[in-house]
Amino acid sequence: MMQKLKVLVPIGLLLCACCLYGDTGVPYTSEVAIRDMLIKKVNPVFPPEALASVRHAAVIEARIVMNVSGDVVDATILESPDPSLNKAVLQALWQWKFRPLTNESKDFKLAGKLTFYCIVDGKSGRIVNPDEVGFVEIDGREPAVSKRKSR
Amino acid sequence: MARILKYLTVIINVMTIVVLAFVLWFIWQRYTKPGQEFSFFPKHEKLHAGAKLDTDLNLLASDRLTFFVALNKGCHYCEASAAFYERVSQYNKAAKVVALFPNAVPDAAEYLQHLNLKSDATAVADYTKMGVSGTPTVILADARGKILGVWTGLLDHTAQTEVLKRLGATDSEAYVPAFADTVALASITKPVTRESFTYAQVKEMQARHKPFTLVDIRDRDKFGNGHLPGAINIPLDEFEVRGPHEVKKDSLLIVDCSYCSECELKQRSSGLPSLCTISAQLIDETGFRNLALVYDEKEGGKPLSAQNETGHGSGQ
Repeated sequence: MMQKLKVLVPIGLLLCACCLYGDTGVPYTSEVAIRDMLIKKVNPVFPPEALASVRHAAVIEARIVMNVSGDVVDATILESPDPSLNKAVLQALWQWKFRPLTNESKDFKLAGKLTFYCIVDGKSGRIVNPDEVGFVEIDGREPAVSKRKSR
Repeated sequence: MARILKYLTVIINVMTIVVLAFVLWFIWQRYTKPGQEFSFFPKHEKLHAGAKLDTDLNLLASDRLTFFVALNKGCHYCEASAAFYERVSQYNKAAKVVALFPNAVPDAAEYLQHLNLKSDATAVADYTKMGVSGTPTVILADARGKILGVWTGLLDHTAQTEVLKRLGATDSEAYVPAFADTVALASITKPVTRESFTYAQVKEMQARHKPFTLVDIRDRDKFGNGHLPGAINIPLDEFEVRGPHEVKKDSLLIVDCSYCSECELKQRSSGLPSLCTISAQLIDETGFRNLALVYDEKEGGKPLSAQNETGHGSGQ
């Protein structure tokens, strides 16, 4: 028992010290900045089952964490109208590659948010990056003011 | 075997002592700094009394103290501190006054004059390296660069008195009346945009089908806990990209940032810009000129409950 304690106590203390010293927050950058660093982009493929959830357009917001080599080490979906779209976007994001961060330490990580729009046109749909689309009428929101006024 | 176990026990004992010593040393270093509040996960702050000023600038006075004033052009709290700077400027015999800017300001002299700050020198400094988290920040350092005091934000009358005393003012000279706080705050209490509406006004506009877009720029969790009817949620950090695709630029854009004058004052006096200030600036930069804030002074800026939501989507 004492032997076990003698091993566990230093490990516990060491962990405690690491927690006190370590800075767990991942630095965060804007979407514009993180997209500027992009060197390999794989477009998400629209899953047909998402047609049931999206009428015209929807927004998908993802958060990624990249390491110094520019590889995606974590990706999560923050907002999406359908789980099938989550899967499609995440599948694509894991293949994205960013410019390596040369001036940072090995353990450095950088987080950022990425926006995608899901556009449905009749019986087909596509997931696009914001720069590939103009004004988007998102489902569930009232039409633009001018149209509303005319009603 | 017994011998190995004995050695192992000795090694573990030594390790225990070393780790324990490290933890104690760390806690000693971390929590015995003057003005440091106890926290299990403290921020790694560079600027505190007793630390050495981290700057490449060779601006320290050799014969007296140096009083650094970290400013930024367009900073509301710097302008609201003009009366304090005027008093500080009278003590330039006790301390060299150095005005710092994060980037080159062509009309710095004019700006300093506007702030009533008579500085002995002006310099461009790397605020991140120095540890300056917001403006204005005033730093008092000795000839060797040791920080004697740091004050951030719009200083209240007690902090101003303390600074003036540190600069050598007598009790009567350093006296700053409490109403000075009100005077300073009065200049910055209004929302930063040209126009603002109360929640009641927004509801009335919705009822009358007035054309506008209501955007809630708080994060998703806060939006989920309650928001104005008809508001669309675009968190502030997403607005730069999403705004132009989801909000028409020619329509009136009303932003809900949970504005409340008390919270605004608290935040501003801490030296860091409030969510509303950042929102107004960022949204304006994105090209949305027809911008207004929504607030409810009576409710203390709390958003209406989602349960009260009746006409979803009526804001657009």
